[in-house]
Amino acid sequence: MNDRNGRLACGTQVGVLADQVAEHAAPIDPRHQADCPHCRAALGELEQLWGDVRELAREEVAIPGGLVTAVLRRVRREREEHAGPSLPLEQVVPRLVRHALLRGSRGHTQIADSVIAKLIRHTVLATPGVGSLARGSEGLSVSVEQDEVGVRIGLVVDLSVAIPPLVQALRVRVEREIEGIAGLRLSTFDVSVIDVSET
Amino acid sequence: MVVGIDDAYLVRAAQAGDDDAFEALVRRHQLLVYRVALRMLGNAQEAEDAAQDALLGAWRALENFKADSEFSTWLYRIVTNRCLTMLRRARPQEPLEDDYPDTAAEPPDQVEGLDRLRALKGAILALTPEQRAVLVLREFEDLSYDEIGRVLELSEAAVKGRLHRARGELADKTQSWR
Repeated sequence: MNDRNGRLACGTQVGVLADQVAEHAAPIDPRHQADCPHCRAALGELEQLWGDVRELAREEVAIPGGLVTAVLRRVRREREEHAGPSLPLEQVVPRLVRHALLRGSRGHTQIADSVIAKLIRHTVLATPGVGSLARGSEGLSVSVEQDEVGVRIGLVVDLSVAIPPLVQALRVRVEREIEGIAGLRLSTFDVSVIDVSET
Repeated sequence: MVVGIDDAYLVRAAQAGDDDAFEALVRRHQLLVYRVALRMLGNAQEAEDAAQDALLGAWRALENFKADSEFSTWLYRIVTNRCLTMLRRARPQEPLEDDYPDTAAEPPDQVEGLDRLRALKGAILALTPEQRAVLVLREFEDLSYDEIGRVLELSEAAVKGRLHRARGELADKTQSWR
């Protein structure tokens, strides 16, 4: 197709034609290309070559199964080495992480329960009328099954707030957060008001 | 790909020491990282090693990550650099193994096409690592010149120039088998 300097017999650089084909760009010299046999032959070959490149680009690549586990193991090992041997046990022993699982056509997304819980906590606390959440699991508990999230919250509300509209607002906001940001569905939403804050 | 919580939120949580958030980031971006490594290195085992190193490197450097850039661009940079380092490290030039996903038992009329693809993979792997990097980021990852510039820390003009040479080289390397 070309000599050793990457030029066709007519002097055109093959790389220029390759850029044109690869980027679907307009020819720099349309009049020359229209009747130059060298350019036309090269363009034909390059179209086929770039068709192949695009086909290669479409090939599915499967992620090696243990990649995430291996990375997290190395992260943990490094953290332990940094922290020395006196770490509390729960930081050394990996705890079981639960996930929401979103199945997509080109791959799956997993979202750790703790991430979902943080999102919900943030949303709830940002809602006017909410004083605070009860402590521990009484304040917020999240159960995730595939792409469905069940939520239970225990609230301390502001003194003068009307409770039914507040609960309604919370449900809407949490639902929007879970569906809009995490792509999950809210299956149940249970609220208990455990106290009022008088400040 | 299903869209989840945005990267910026997870990055902030991970920077604050939340390993679950880091895990979520790894799960979300592992395909991108592995795919680039596989295409840069052409070998599944080396690609997995490079992807692991890159993701661990991201964890180590997490505090340096600036929120004003895309997390995925940052990962592209880390994994590309990792692969370039591996490729530049002197090693005997052995025939590169073909570990791209294989398309098994194709009808005979597609064999010629498969041979062409195989030869094309070989030609891509025969480019210089620097040329391969721009080609992979542009043709396979579909990044803009600007993004590639940020990944490789090059000007847009330099990206275009390198891409131009890579394409010319690829055309040159593939013509013998046509």
